[in-house]
Amino acid sequence: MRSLTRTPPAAVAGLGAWLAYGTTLWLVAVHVAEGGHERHEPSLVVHVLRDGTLALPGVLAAVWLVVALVERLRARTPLTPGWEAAVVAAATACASSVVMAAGNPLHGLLFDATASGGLPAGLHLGRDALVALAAALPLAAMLVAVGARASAAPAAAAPPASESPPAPPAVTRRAFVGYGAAGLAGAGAAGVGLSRLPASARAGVRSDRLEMFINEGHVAMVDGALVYMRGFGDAPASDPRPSLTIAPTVFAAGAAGPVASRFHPLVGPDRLPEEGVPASAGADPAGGNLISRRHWASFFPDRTIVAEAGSEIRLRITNRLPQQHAFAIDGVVHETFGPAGSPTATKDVAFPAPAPGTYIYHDPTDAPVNRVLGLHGVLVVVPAENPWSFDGREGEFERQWLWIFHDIDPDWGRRIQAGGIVDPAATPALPRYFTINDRSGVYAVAASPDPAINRRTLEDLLAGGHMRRIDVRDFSDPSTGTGQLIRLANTGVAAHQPHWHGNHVWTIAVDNAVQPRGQITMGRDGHPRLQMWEDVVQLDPMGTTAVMLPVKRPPDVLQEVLDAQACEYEYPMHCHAEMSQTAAGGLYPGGQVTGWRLRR
Amino acid sequence: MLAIIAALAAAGLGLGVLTIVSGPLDAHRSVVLAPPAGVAWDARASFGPIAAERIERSPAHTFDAHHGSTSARRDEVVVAVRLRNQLAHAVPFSPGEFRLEAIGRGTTVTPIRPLAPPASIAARTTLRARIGFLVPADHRVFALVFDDALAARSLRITLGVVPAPPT
Repeated sequence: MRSLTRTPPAAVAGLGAWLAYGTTLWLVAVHVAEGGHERHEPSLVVHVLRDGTLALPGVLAAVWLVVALVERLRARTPLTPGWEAAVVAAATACASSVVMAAGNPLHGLLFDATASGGLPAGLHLGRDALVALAAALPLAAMLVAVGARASAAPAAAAPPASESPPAPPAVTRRAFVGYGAAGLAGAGAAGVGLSRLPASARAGVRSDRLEMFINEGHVAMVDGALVYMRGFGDAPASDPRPSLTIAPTVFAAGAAGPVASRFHPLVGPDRLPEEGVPASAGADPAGGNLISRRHWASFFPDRTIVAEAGSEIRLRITNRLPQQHAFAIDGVVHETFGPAGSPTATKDVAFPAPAPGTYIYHDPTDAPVNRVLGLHGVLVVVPAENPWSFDGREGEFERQWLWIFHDIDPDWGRRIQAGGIVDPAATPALPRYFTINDRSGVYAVAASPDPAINRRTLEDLLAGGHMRRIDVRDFSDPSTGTGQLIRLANTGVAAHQPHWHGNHVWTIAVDNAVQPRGQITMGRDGHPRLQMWEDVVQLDPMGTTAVMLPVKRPPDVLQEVLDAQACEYEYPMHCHAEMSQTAAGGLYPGGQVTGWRLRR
Repeated sequence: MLAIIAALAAAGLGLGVLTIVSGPLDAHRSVVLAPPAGVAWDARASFGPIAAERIERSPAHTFDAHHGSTSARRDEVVVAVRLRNQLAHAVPFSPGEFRLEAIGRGTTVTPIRPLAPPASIAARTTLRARIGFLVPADHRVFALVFDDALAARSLRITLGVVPAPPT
C-alpha cells in the first residue's frame, strides 16, 4: 500500500498534540480575558484538556496532510534542512490555526460558550485564526527545530545504509483514516466525559430505600438573585452547590428498592416521547390523529416520588440542620427528626403507598415557613393495573404531567438565615418569585439560554400532543380518544389560578377526590364540585387538582388559519393572579408561565 | 511566504495581548472608564473585597418593543468586577447578585445574563467577571449594588458619571 508520509507517525502525532494543547492554552487565556463564558465552565486545566482533546483529531489530520504535502514538494524541489523545517513549521501552524478557528462554532454549540465579541461570523473566524497562529507558529517552530537538531546528530554518525535499522513504519492512507476515526471517537468521548464530570460526581447511591437529606443553601432565582432556601435533597451538600431537591424516583410494586428514573412506567427508550410529545399513531379517518393507547412513558420533575399502588415507600432521612424538622404527608405519615448530630437526626421511614392520587410531602414545622423555604415535594401514586389512568377507572390519558406551583419569599429566607424566627402572622409572606417545577419565566417556556434546561422543560413541563377527537364521557374509549392528564399541586402560600389558552381543561379530581359527573355539590370554599370544562382552575395552598387537557382543535379557529399554520401551535398557560407573572416585583413575564403544544 | 506568515502571527499576537490587557475588541464605539485617581470602586463583602475595575458603555443592539416598552435607544453598560474569596471554603456566586442603580430614578437594573456561570467562587481565589446591564441612553449617573447573600445585606459602590458613547 502506498504511504501517505515517510515521517515517523510518532513525530507527526507529537507535533499535532503539541500544537493542539499549546494553542488551546493560549486561546482559553484569551477567551477568559475577553469575558467569555460557558455553561458549567470547568477549571482552567480541565478546560484546556477538554478543548485540546476535542481539537486534537482535526489538528492531527491537518498536520499529517501538511507534512505529506511538504514531502511531495521536497521531492520536486530540493530544500535545505533549515528551509524544510521552516516550511513545515509555518504550514502546520497555519493549518492547525485554521482548524481550531473553524472548530469554534462547534465548541460554542457543545458548551453554550459565549464570547463578548459581536463580530460578524466570518470576521470572527479570521480573527480567531490569527490569534491562534500567534501561538501555533512559535510552538511549531520550537518543536520542528528540536526535531531537526535531534535527527541531524545521529545522521552524522550513522552506519552505512546496509547496516541501518529498519525504517519506522510509514503511515498509509488506510491507517490515516483509521487513526483519524479512532481519534475523533476517543476525543469526543474524552471531551464529553470531562465536561460531564461534575454531574456524574453528584449521582446518589440507592439501595433498598431512597436516601434524603434536609439541607440548606442559596438558590439563584430567574433574575440571578440568590435566595436562602431549604430542601429535601438526595446528597449531603450545602453551599455553594446545595442539594435541595431529589431526582425523580420510582417505587415499583414488588420491587426490592427504588429506581432513579425521570419517567414512569419504566419502559424502554422507544416509548419515551420525543421532546415530551407522544407521536401520532396515524391519521384518524374522522379527523385529527389516532393515539397509541397505554403506550407512552411520562416524564416527571425533580422533587417527585412516583409509587405504584401496592408498593412500600421506604426512605432514610437525615436532618443536617441545627433545628428540628419533620417529613409529613397529611393523613398518611408524619415523622420528626432531631437536630444534626443528635441520635434522632437520621431515621428510616416506611409506609405503604396510599390510594392513587397526588400528595404533597412537606415539613410542617412552623407551617408554612419551612414548606415555603423549600422543604416540600410531591408523591404521585399510580394505579398498578392501569398506570395510564388517574385512579384505575377515571381519567385515562395518553401521557401525564405534574406541575408544582410554588412561591418564594426572600425576606423569610433572610430572616431564617440570620437565625431569626418567622411568625407568619406578624410577618405575612410576601413572595417575590413564583415557580412551576422550580422554573420561572423563560426557563419555564423552554426559551432560556441553557439548552439542557430547555430540554427538560420540553419533557416535564410543556404539555403537548397531536390534535385528536375526544369525548369526555369516556376517556378510555379508544374510538373517541383521550387527552393529557395534568396534575397540579400548590406547595406555596398564595392561591393560584392556572389558566389555559387554546383549550379548556376537564376537571377530574380535587384533592384526590374524583368529582361527580351528575350530582353537583358545593365545596366549603363555595366552588361547585363537578367534573366540567374550565379555563381557569382554582388551586389553593396545599391543594391538588387533576385536569385533562383535551388536545383538540381550538373551537374558534378558522379552517383557513388552521391550514396556513406551518408549525405546531403553542398556547400559553399562566396563573391568573397577576403578581405571580413577575419576578422581584417587576420583571415580567418572569413567573408562573408555561404552555402547551398542539401538533397537527 | 514565510515572512507573510510570520507577520500574520505577529498581528495575531498583538490582538491576543491587546485582548488580555484591555478586554474585548469591539470597543470602537464605547466609552471606557477606570476608577479616577484616588478613588476606589470597591466594598467589603462577607467573604472578601469586591471591586469594579472598569466600565464600558456602548450602544445596545436593537430590541423589539413589546408590552409597553418603547423604541427609545438603550446603551449596554458592562462592568468588569473582581471578587476575592478570602474564606477557606467556596461561596455561592451569581452574576445577578449585582444590579446597576440608575441614581436619581430610584430603580435598579438586573444584568442581561443574570444566571451565567460560574456558580461559585473557590476558596481563597479571585473571580473576575464582566456583567452587562441595559440602561436608558439618556441616563448618566450610576451605582453598582451587590446583594451579599451570605450576609443578607446590600453593598453599594458609587460609580458616578458614565458618559454616553458617541453616536
